[in-house]
Amino acid sequence: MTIDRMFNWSSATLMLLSVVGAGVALDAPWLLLAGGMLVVIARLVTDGPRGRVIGRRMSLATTLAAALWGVWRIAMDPGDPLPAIVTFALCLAVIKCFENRTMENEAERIVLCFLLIALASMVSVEALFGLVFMLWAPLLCTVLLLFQVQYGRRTFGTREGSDQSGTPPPAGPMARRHLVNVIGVSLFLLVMLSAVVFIVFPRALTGNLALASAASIARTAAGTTNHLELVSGTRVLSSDAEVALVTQIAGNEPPGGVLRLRTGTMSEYTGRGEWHPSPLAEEEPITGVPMWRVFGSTEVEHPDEFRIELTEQLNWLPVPAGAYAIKTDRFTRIGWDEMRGVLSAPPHAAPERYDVRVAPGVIPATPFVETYWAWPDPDIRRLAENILTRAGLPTFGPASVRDREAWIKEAASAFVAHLRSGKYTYTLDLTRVGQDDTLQLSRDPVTRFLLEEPVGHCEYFAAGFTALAQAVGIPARIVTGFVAYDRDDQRRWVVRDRDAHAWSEVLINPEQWMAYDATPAAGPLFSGPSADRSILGQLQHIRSRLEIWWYGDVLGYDASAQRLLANTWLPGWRQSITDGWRTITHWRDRLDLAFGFGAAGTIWLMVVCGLGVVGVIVLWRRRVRRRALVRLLQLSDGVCAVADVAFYGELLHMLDRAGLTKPRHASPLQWCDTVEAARPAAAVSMQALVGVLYRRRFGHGDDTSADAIKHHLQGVAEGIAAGRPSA
Amino acid sequence: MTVRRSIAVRPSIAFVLALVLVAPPAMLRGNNLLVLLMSLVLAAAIIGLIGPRLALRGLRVNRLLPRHGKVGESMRIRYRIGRTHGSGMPAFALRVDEHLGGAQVDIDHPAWVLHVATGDTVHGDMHVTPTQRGKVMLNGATLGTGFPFGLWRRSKTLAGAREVVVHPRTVPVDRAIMRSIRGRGLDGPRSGRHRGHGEEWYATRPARPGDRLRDIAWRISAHRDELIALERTTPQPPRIRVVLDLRRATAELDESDLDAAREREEQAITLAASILQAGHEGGDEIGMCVLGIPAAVHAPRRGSLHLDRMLSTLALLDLDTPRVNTAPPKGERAGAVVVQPDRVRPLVGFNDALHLSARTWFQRAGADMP
Repeated sequence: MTIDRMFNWSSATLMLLSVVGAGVALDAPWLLLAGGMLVVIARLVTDGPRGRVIGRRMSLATTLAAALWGVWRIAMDPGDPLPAIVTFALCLAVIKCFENRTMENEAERIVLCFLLIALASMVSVEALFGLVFMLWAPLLCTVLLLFQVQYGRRTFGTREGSDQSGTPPPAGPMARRHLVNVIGVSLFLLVMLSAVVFIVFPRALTGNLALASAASIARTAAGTTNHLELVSGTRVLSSDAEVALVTQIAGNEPPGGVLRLRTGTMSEYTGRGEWHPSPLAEEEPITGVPMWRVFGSTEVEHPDEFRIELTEQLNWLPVPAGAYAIKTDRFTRIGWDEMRGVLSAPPHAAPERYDVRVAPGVIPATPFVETYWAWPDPDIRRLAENILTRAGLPTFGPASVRDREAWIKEAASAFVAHLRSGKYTYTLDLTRVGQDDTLQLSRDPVTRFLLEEPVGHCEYFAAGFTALAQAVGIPARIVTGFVAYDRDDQRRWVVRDRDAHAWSEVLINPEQWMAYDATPAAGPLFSGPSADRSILGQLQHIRSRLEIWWYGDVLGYDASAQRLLANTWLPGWRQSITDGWRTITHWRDRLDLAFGFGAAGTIWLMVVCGLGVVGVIVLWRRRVRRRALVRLLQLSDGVCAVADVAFYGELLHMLDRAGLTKPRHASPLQWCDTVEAARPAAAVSMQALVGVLYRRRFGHGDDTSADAIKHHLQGVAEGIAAGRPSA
Repeated sequence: MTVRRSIAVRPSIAFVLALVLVAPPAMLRGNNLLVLLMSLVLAAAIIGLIGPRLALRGLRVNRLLPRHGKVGESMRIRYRIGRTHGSGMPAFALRVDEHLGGAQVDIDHPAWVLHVATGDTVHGDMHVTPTQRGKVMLNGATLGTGFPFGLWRRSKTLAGAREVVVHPRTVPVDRAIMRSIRGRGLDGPRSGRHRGHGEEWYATRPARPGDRLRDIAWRISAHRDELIALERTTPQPPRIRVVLDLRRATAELDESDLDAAREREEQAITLAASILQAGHEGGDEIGMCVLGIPAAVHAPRRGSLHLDRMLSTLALLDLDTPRVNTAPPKGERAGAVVVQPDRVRPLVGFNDALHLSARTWFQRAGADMP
């Protein structure tokens, strides 16, 4: 393939990909189709010597129309101008495709492509857009590379060897082969370098991804917050970042090898999707010490014992249900909420490692009454009653405690069965949920989930279950925490960010809660290897893995993931820096102790150290220059001191800056003649300096003073400044 | 020639703008896609910084200069770019820029080479059009490239200083004028003592294969009993001597201002060069002398090298030097033409010469003449 064809094809494909990317980002299939088709048509129409292009006036008129359209759209929706701007840029790109295929227009098209994708990146985080982006980026670099070659060929290469049509001469096969190789190597380096820059770019600057992109992305909240807010129109992200490592020291393994760690409970629904803990809940401060500290009321003879090592600072300590005693690695203050059965830690001061004792299979309840949903939605109550009726259960609980417990268990099972019946879909992508204004959807996310749009993630299922239970008078609450499946080589549960989960607890009798998980175990984050062995199933599995990679590792790469990566890849670097800083402060303190120079002395010391560093750099640079001079003049020992001929290096440096670089093959005298022709005003001084150099270099001795040499150097500088001779 | 519109935005400026567009939202919004885009731009910048350095390693440039140039005519300066060793990375999109000085020239397009691999020698041509006679100083050839991404351009000066003489511009001279110049010297062709195919003969010799029958001296051949051929003389072409009279200082010329007077002197030089060129093309022996400015006197001769020497003398005339009132040399037997800038003034010893003034000549020739 010739370079012309390579450039034309890659340039057209780049434009097509940019338009497709913008269409995907805007989630406008008609725009995608129309834009893509127009780009393809433009390629066909403008191609070849008989290609038709639109004139300047037409181009300006269509651009103006697109701009007016964009302004009108912004005026209609001033709160979100970005889609209108992207659409305008897309129109501009399509118009540009129909213009002349000069190199100037090609350059403008490349700039437009970049602009289009940059703007689209601000709008969309779709996996499909990511795929387009991943194809677009290397193609852009290829086009840039080819543009360099093509611009020169078309601009400067038309005179020799070309035909009368102005077509540049063809490039030889070796040039093409080398060009392809260079493109390959450049792309490889580009991918590697950009990956490194992406990984090491300080995420502290970027702030919290969840806060920054709240409009389109939400991190899974379960396990890290004390309240729950069901937000629609978002996509939940999670990463593989480790949160904790849990080792079972004593007791029986949890059923199925699945460990549930609780961090919080919420029982009161305030409407509009917000769940809060009961306001009656109170924290009792306890002091964590390196010995067992019992805080719960339920003690058992053979408890389960777990060691939990936190790798991420949390405000609530994840513990299994039924925890009643704790042993921390150091003294620390912990809050114990008996009503909710959760432990809290001071901000950024959670113990790194703690052991807990757990009463197996028991979730004790307190005599205090939690507050629940005050005014349950009548529609939800009707739904709950329908479910119970279909299950053959009474809609009101029996009066006796034993019958009531049985009824509660059966009712809870009926609600779980209803939510897992297949009518409700588990998804982390809620970007389209609750966004369709034409459906007159309820503004209450729980009502919407249970009755109108049965799509949601674990928080929706837990909230739906709890709402159904509370609607028929069953005390229930949402529990947030982690469900750990993975284990490492040492049989420790590896609790990851993606293991965050929400489920429910129901008060079956005044002394005991029972856990119910209404979430169908079909979410991509909880799925193992795909069970579906068909090609479609495998493709679905690959797609889901790619989505997880894209959302989790690329888009969800944040400060914590960066820290984790750094801790994994560079073990001990932080320790080394800390040790180094400790050593510095240690020596500073010792010096302070010895001489007592205080803060001012420290500043002076820093200034002196700084000057020392600058001095070392200056000396190093001088040494490099001297070495270069020794090499240039081939000075061996005993010929003459480098300092005696240092002025020659300065002279060459001066000439070099004026664009008169001395070729290696030219002798100083020859170079003197050349400079004389180019800068006659500098000739006399330069001849004098070269004379001094020869006399000193070849051992005849010279007594020219340093002032005289400086004067000659000044003369050369003035001669250079005088400029070139006139004709 | 098609006028090309240069790209208004430099790649490095476009790069900075792209970074300005992408970096703040990447940092403020925490959008990893924008961070990825910014990483891409930064990586391209790093590669764009290193690539040209590697590409320029081990490159050598030599100039292949023309013998001379001519005002108004395109001149090709060829660069031989070679690479004996290097980084292993082939160099692409190399552009050679020349630091020009001396006589003014218009650069039609600089030398540009697509590809130089290790062990290759590639030629690139720069085309310039001189607009002024004199010496064009080539102070240094700078080889540069922005490959791979064109973000940063790196260059280094490789070739030393050289110069090219630019001859004055020439204009067509009417044949009638050339005939009238010739007519003022010897009348028509004459014989000289050189061998050739003229009409007169001066010796005999034994005939050789290839001699024409009419060259055989039949009577002498009969007398000597062998074929004898006649040796004929060659016809000597007409001789023309151009006298460029620049004895009057520029300020003393009969012109409205100094610029017009200097322009008139340049026209006189152009006219003299044109007559020399026309004489050379007509097969005449041509000579030249310049009055008023120290310059070499050229006796009438034939040949391209002789013409070049005379045009070079005209090219290097420095009109700023003080004029001297030199006497015209005693002329050989040749048709003479005296060229003066502003108006015709009689010249002692050249009474029968044709006197031309640049002003009259170029006014008659038309407005398109310089």
